[in-house]
Amino acid sequence: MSILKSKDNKIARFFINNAVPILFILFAVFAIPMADLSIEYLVAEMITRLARYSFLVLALLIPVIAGMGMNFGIVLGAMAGQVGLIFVMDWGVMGVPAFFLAIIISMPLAVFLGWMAGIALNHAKGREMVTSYILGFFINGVYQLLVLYSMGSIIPINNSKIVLPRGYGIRNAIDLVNLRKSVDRLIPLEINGIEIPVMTFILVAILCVFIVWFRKTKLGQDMRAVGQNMEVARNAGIPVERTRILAIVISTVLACIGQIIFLQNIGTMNTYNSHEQIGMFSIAALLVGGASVAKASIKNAFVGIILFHIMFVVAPRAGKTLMGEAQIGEYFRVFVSYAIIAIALALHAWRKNKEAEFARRSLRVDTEEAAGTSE
Amino acid sequence: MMEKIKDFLEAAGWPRLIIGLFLLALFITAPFVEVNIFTSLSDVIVRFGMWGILVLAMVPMVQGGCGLNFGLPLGIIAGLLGAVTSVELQLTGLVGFFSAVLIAIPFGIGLGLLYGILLNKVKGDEMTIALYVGFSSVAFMSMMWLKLPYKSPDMIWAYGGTGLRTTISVEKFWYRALNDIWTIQIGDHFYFPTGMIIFFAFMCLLVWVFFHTKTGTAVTAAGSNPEYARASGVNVDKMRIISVILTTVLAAVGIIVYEQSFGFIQLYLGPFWMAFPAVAGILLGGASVHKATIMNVIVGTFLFQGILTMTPSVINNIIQTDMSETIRIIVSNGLILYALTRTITIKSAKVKA
Amino acid sequence: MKGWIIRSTLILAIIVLAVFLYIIGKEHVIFVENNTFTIDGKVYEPYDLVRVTLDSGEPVELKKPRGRSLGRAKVSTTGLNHKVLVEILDDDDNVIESKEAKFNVKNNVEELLLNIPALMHDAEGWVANNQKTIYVENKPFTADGKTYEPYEFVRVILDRSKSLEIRKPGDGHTGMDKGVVTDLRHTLYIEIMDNEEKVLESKEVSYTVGHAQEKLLINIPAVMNDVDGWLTEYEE
Repeated sequence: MSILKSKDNKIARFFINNAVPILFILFAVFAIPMADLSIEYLVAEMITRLARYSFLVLALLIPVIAGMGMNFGIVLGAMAGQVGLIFVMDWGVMGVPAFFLAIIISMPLAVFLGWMAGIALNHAKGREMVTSYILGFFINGVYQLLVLYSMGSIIPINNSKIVLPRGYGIRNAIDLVNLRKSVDRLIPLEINGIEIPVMTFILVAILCVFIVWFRKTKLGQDMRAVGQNMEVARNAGIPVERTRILAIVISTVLACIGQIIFLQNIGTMNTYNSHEQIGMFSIAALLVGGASVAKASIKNAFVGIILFHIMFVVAPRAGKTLMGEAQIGEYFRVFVSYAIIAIALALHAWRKNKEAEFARRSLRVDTEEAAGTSE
Repeated sequence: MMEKIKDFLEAAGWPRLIIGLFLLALFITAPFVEVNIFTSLSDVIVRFGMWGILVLAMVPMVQGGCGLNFGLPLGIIAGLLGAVTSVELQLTGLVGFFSAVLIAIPFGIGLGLLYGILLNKVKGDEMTIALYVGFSSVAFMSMMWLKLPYKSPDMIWAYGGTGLRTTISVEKFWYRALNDIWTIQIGDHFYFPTGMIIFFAFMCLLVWVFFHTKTGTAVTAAGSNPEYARASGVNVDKMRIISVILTTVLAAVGIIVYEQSFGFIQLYLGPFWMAFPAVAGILLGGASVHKATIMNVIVGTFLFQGILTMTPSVINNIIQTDMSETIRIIVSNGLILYALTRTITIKSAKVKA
Repeated sequence: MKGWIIRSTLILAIIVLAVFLYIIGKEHVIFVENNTFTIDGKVYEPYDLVRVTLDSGEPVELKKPRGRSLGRAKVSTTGLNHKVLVEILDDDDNVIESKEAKFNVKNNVEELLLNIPALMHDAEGWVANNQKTIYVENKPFTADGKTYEPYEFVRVILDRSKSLEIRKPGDGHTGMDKGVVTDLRHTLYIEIMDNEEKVLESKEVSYTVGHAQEKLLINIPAVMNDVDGWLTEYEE
């Protein structure tokens, strides 16, 4: 009897735990035929998007280990990366050296921003996500102050192709002509007419290996301990605050590199918008992949990117077939991106509350049983 | 005397005092940089009236223990439905305004109820989820605005598109319906929207009265100490739902007041970011994630809207550059950030003490 | 202490890497031209058809300039050391003559001008900085025993884009300014002004710069009085 029940439970639990990916797979099965897109097109699109977003999504994993939830602060890293790109474009550096130079330039900025964000989040324990979200907006204001008003006036930027005609401030769109696909095409490979960005995938693979290795290091173990229970970790002599700050710093730096990879693939930088949606899209993708606020794996990241971006590519077309209007599909896309985060977060919070309740109840049963046996 | 100053400082709080002095400094500087002080003052008062009720809408949820209402757009949507329906029915003047409010209220109650039930399931994570409930409801309604069967030629695209327009002018209907009751106009520059301010005061009074009824005190109890409230027989979940409904209805009314002064109904992604100025306002007024009073609303809205109006105009005139948008972003988010990172340290300090 | 040493070494290594990346990645635009080249009275004529290969890039073909065609091509390169292969072709695309040459670029040079006829004849200045620094001075000028005095206040516009304002020397003014222009043919527009910035007199002249010249000096009083020798090479 009890075995049967636990089996039922297992299936139910599987469905509850994977509700979001299952929902998306159902959506894909339903919408792909509706959109009338060729499989080659979809595959090519998914490969591009995997190359584009993997690094950014993987940048989210480490703060999750440290129990800090989804780090909306990756937009800070993205902004740092863009500042690096602006300088590289100004100096007229080209190709792969430009890519690495941009990383080196933006790194100190990313470390600094991450460190600041880490301190702020230490003051907002228990609501890291909202705080990191607002932090993104706040730093966005500072970024505008820097890029729109100081560059070209206080900070010397001379290249007239990137400075606004008024003499200071950076243009809204910068053509990354020197950088476009330079990493993607470093090792050229084409299969069935689909271009494979080999080098980008190698960078992503290196990051995956780093994350697996990092989890086993002393710092990684400390982070896990902090993530499970801060007080216990503190009593065990782990510097909780420092560990949490480091988690955010690493995440910010990775996001900075991720944004540079993302932009070299796209080839154009919208100076004041490219970073804004990054946090939302990356987090939505990770959650779609079956991750939760407390648990996220590399597998979740890849599954999530594919499922989320199938929705992204397919929705406008499906919307047009279904409702006769592409605009509806556009809004549907926005709706799903946000709704999926809401649902995933709500499911997680609900499950957490349920488990807490269950734990309380089983504790009660245990004590009753213990009382029974002692008689 | 020293004691009194100390008490005052304690009561007002440093951040408010600093911001207040800063605002005062802006008003003093204004004439020197050729900013008309009467126009500015008038702008501040009008914006105070426009935002007042939206900020007031934060109070019930905070008091009910659900945190800051980042899901404000949900209530705004109820208000938009009321406003759009009132325009569809070609109602004008005060009749138009109040019918918009009356139509909006049932939507507010319905949405608030669902929202409240959801928030009860996710205790502890209300704010993050509220944020996304707000965003996704705005996106969902964007689809609806395209499909809902409104027919008035004042609201749908004249040609080339389907659905409602992104901005709908209410000039022909109830533009300044509230503002223009007993308006005071002094000279060319000073204008006081008496009706709107009185309506705001009336809403404050209603909320104040509510929190002094039996249900109101139960809501506060459920918010400040749920365990204790439960022990003394209060249905905590029900009280939280009541607070969320009240918040949503207030937001619905608030947006209609905002629109009648602004002159336009903004649909689609218009309500997307509206929670943030409201949240920043109440936090600046001295509210925390756990406690908010009507005084916080009044002080906060005035200071925040004052800063938002004055800083750009004064700074723009000083440095001859339009930086208003950037300043708005830094100031409002800086304030929210301050509040989010502050409260917990005070709490833990108290625990240690 | 040990950690400190490791850290500073690491930072130093990263800085060195950054400088290295900057040097190898910096873009230098090279204009390859098949135009007439004049130096010390000698004139080298352009070829009918040449094929030029820079480093390992795509070859470019240049015809003899005729009418509106400029006989030049723009090639983007990175790094400091370059080699160029020039092949002179006949009408049937057969190589008549070919020559390979090597050259270096200074890191801060943005644009280079590479002249094919000069390269084939090993003439000095076959590859030169295409950005010329023009020094403009508002100082007394003496020629044939006559001295032309500087003006109170002058505005100079180089190539209708870069504007300089120069006051008379003295009172903390040097009576000199400079601007960077690209390519060989230039214009100079001068406005003589009084202290209220009212224009009293204006003049426009055009001039050509030699390939190998990088720094030039223009004297305003000499230009205004049409005295020869207003354009000279600048020596520090």
